[in-house]
Amino acid sequence: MSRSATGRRRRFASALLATLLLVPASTLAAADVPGRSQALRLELRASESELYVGQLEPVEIRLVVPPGIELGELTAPELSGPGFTLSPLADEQPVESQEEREGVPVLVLTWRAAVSAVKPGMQLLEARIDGSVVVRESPGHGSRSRLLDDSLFGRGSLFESFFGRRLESMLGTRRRPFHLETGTVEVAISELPIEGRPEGFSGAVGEFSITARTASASVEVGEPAQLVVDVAGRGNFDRVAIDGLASGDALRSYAPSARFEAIDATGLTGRKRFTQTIVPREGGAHEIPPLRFSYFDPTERRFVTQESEPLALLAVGAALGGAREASEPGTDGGVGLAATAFRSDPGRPSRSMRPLFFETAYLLALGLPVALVAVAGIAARLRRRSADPERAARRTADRIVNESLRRLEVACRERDPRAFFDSARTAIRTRIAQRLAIRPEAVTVADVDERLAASPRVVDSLRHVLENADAIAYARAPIDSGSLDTDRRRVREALDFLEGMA
Amino acid sequence: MSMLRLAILFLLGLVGAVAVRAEAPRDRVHAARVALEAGRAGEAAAALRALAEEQGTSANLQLDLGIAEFAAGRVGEAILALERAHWLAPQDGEITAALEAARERAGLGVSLVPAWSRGRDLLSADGWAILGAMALAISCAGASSRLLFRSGVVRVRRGIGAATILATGITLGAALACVSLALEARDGISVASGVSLRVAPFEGAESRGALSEGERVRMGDRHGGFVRVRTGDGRDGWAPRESIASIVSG
Repeated sequence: MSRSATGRRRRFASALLATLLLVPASTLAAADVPGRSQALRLELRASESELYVGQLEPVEIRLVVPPGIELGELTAPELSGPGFTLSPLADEQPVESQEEREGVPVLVLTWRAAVSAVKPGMQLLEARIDGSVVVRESPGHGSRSRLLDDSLFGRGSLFESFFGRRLESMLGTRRRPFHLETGTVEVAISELPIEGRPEGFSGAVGEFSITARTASASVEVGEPAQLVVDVAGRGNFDRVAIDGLASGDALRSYAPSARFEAIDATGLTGRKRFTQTIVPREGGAHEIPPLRFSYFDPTERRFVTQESEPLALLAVGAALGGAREASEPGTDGGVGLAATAFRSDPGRPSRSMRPLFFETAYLLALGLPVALVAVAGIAARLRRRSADPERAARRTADRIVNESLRRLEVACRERDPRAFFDSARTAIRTRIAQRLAIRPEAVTVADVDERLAASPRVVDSLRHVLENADAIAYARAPIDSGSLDTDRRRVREALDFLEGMA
Repeated sequence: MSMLRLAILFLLGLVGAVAVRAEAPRDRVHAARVALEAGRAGEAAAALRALAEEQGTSANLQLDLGIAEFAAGRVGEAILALERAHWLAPQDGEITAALEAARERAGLGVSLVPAWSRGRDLLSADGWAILGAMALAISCAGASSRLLFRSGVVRVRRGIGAATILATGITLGAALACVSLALEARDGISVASGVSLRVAPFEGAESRGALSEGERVRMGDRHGGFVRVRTGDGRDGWAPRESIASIVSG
């Protein structure tokens, strides 16, 4: 499009600012309006009235805008026809041009599209469009506008609205919607002839040519080369297909891939490029035979088969494993991999591919450092415990108490009150000192009374033992050895109590 | 004097025997190469297979075997050998390229390798296992020293702490790689063409589709002569055991 439709509409409208326009409010066909040059028209133009199934043909949808009409909104036109496959519009924005109709210059907006015939028989095609036009009123023409409006659309239109009229008169414009249809166009669609249909015909209809080339003239044996086949021309490219080069003993080929490049916006003309990978299996010059492509020419009304020129591909070198062994069963597909990959050095062979982490010895070995951490943790804990002064005092006290108890038992058996009470005093003092965190020599009866007041029975026992011990040690008082058993029990109870103290 | 001569002769013979034995695999690989160049790919593949069975396998040997099998037209066996070569030497670019080329030419498409997997391919499975064990040992040694020696030069203690943290990180990374590889060790290759995937492990069971020759699958339960497999695109079913070869052999 040379210039934008919007810009043109604006200029066109500005020149006709003071003109009152006549536009139908509903469906408008050119024939329905008196004075054709003064009415919007929608036209559908097809280049052919007879098509073949599969044939792709361009169509034009043209909106004829007479002078004095300013377009408002405009939707893209729609094509409809049950016997066709309709491609989308080539451009959303139409191409603008100036034409002369009945001696009057008109603006023509043209949209291009393509339709593909799919159903044989007489088929109908039509187009429609929706939009609005801007109606401008100048103060000097108000009575004329209303008069003409009423004559065309009758009373009862929105112009009778008091407020609408007030607003429009204030702005000097109003928009009127319209809907245009072209009416149906008849197109005769014929089946493609059966007779003379070539083998491998894929349904292409139009005019085409085929060319082929290789991306490189030579390639190493076993390495891929690209065969490029171009089908160019005009027609339904969606049905253009080629079989490509068939695999053989000398050349292996893979299915071709296709890519279409349109030249025009409707996709009617262009080029479809097929790229096929071929791999030479043997060295030397390989001939790529002509590739065929068949289509139906609607102009000539006959099938046409075209062939590409034969090509030569030189395969150099001898790839490892590039040759196939005919005697081996199931050898289809034996294309060699890169020759340089083969290695004469077998490397260091290993009996098993099983990874180390599946081996029990490895897992056990992993346990060693973990065990080391565990041992270190235990050692550290033991060291901390041994360094604890409270624990050391307790261990010392335990040792002394146990030794004293052992001597106490001996003294009890031998009925030696002196040794008995001496041992009992040592044991009790040591335990009390450990519990109270004081020195054993510093333990007094007063300490016992004060610290163990909660247990008077134990206090009595302790006092008794300590007093007797003092009496024997310092006063040399005689002690009845008959009560040693009772005293031994008291000492044991007192020590148990002291040991269980919090 | 005669005893000395005998001893020298014995030693020379021993060295010669060792040398001959060391050269034997290389000679056999060379013979396979000659056979392959002469177009006798099947003979070359058989020779390489026999060598692998007798002497054990290696990445190079599996690569050669893959090339020979592919040339002989046994796509499944070729891809199996190349997958084994890749398992043994994942960092070897030529092996990876050969495997991708074989897969592409077999119509299996190039496998999409996730980025983290490329990092994992820096080392083989054994490489990760050894690295992980060493890192674990360093990590544990560092932790033990921190436990046992609570006093000392601050700089040394900090250095040991940093090394311990680094070693612990490496240990975790190696552990992840090993877990991932352990899962992949269950993978197999379809070595036959048109293997049916059945809904149940018996011949008459309904078929869900077929495996392509050379297609990689993850193997699961085994039942009778069947193994349950899952393909990369999510299909699963039961396939005959003999049609699926485990990548990690031995």
